[in-house]
Amino acid sequence: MRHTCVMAILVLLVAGRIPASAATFDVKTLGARGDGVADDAPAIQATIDAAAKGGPGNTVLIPAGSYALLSPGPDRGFYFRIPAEASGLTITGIASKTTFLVAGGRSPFVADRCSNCTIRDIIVDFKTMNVTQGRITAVEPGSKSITIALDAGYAAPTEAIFTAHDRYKPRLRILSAGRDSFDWTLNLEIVSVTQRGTDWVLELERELKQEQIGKRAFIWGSQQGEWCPFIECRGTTNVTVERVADYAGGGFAGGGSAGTLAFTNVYSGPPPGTNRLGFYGGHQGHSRAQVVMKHCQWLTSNDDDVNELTELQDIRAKPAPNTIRIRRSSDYRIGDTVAIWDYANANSAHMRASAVIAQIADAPDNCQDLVLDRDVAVERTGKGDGPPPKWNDLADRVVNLTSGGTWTLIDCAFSSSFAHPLLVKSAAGITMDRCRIYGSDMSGFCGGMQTYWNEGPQCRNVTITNCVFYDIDGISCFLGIEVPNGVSSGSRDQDNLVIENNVFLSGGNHPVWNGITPRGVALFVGNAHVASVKNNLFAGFPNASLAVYSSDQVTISDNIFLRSHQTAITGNRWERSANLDPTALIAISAADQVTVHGNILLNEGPFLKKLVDVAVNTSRIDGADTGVAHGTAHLYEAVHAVVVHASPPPAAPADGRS
Amino acid sequence: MQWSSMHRRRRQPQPMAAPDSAVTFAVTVPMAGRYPLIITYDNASTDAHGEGSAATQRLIVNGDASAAQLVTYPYTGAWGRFNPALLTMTWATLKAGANTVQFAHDTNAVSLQSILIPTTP
Repeated sequence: MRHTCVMAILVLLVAGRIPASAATFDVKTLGARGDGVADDAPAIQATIDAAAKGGPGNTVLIPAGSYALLSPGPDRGFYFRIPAEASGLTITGIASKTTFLVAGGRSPFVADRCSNCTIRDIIVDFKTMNVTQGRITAVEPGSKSITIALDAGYAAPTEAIFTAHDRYKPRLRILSAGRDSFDWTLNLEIVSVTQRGTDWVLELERELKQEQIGKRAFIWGSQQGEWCPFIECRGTTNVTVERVADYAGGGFAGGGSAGTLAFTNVYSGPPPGTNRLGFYGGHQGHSRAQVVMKHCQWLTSNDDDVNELTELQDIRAKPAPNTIRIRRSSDYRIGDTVAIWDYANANSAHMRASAVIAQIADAPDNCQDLVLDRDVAVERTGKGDGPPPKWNDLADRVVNLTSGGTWTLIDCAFSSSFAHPLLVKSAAGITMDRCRIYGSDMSGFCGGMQTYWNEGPQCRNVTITNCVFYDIDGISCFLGIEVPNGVSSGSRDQDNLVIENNVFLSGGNHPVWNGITPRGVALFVGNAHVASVKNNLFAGFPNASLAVYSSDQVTISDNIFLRSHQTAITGNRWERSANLDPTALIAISAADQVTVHGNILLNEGPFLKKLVDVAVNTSRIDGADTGVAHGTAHLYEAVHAVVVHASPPPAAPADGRS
Repeated sequence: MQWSSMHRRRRQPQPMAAPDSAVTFAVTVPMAGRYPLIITYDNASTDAHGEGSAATQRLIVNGDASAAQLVTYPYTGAWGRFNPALLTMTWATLKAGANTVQFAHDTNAVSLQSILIPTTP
């Protein structure tokens, strides 16, 4: 009997799961002040370390207060490390009452190989604001000078954070009219600033046009040297972030994570209710984790808001018939399936071969050899050009078809000042429901390979329902392979796409960065095998609302097309190479087994030339002549509607605002 | 807009926050079928943190509340804009002739300006 008891205690101790051992560690016990002045970074790190070492399931409590983080953490790049021994650790503030005040340019948290950790109820803001902003009030003709009236409460551009030093030259970013994000064509170095009354005269690197008068503009401080996520995961298993608002950078990095990355009510962007401009972060990295986001907002980044990627690597050599040599990467594991792509030829069937990694061996010059389970054909080896790649660098590429996790995005918002709000280049599956994607100079949501940046390979099992896409300059929703000089017609690897009950609004309002992506297309279904595009609304697109390319078994039914082609548009090189007609409502090219049925077109503009254009190399296209019908619009104004209020009765007119 | 502003000034809930609020449209269609309802609206609802929030309403066709379906209204920014580029859409099964289409309160607040129903010959 005694023996049994001892064994039971030993088992409990070894398992380390005695519930009573979980404890709460208050950061104030180790000296954190939370007064917004004293440097609380060392005390908070010490508390995290103590809680992590103290056993599994502990909690770090950060009581209500403003915690100034002044000293760097164990590494210049972040403040706090959650160490590997942390298991089931929870770091929690008090909802809406715990704030970190940071200098910027540094991530609050690095989760370093810890498991089952949670961070919640923290607000992050700047201790000293690193943006100043205002409105352009004058552009002096024939000179490079402009006058800017600063918004109330924003610092003079002579503050040290805004002035040039050896690694930073201040730049003026000017917002696009009607958009809360900057115009990428106007990113101007500031040569000098002079105060004139209450306004500031800025000498810029070049002359601005008069049309910039009245626009909003900002200068971003030098401390935001690099993108800094709220949390950077390094080899973690299961991370949960809840009720975090980051007004000083934001985003997350999921590098090498496993398990689940769960984000609920996470906000990255300017403080709501303020007029603050600037850049906020997003997600970068590759991970095999399942990403689950609910009620999250990733707003106004200076690059892709959320970017999940897998490398598309140049094959440096082929030392044996079954072995390829690539730059060393943590992205490959034994058992992964890889594919080899003829990178020099957009129209080749790019999946030359797929094979399974049997062994990984170190190779000279910071390379590694992937020993495959079969011999593979590789035509061209060598060092490929980095992004942006030259089309004819000739080296074949390898991609990992296994490494992308699944993404689930529910009721989330993504906007971007530049590039893509949501970019998932590699995923086993994506489910998006009730999401809002808006304000982008390039494409809105991209699912699939981008050869321009050597990243891929594909997204499968993509389900997009009840989402809204609007004010996106390129393709509002781009599913398929994006290549610099054309579109791959060889691959149909994007299996099983479902795009239903979505609303696509008002695209192509501004020029697209670099001109590769077509302007003002709502939905591109490319490289797809089995896709349903059903019950969607497409309103206000100058280009083809829907383009289908290099795909098969696509059904396009019961969609509504409104106010198409109100402005003239000419297709770009990319569209011409793919034979996608920008003057058609639906453009189909290089596709097979496409059914168009029951779609309605209303209020089209004068530049619509065709309902459905079926280009070369298509077969079995049903309903090209009958699948889109002109409809009649019946408008019911709410002012004529009956407003019903049972109780209490509203003291308001029956104007439809129920 | 005036109504919304007035309520905000008085620190009263937004109009649609009233749990029994609803707006009903009398709609006539030529034949029975499933029709899209394209809605011009405002939703400036915010959550406890001041962040823009989606709103929902229950769509009740011809008084049959048992078959109500949810309509989602993404955040649009300030009240009183009715930006024609910010629409939402839902589908309703209507009978030939006169129908009532009611949008009843569910979560947050919405102002509806109009619904557009396309029909084909």
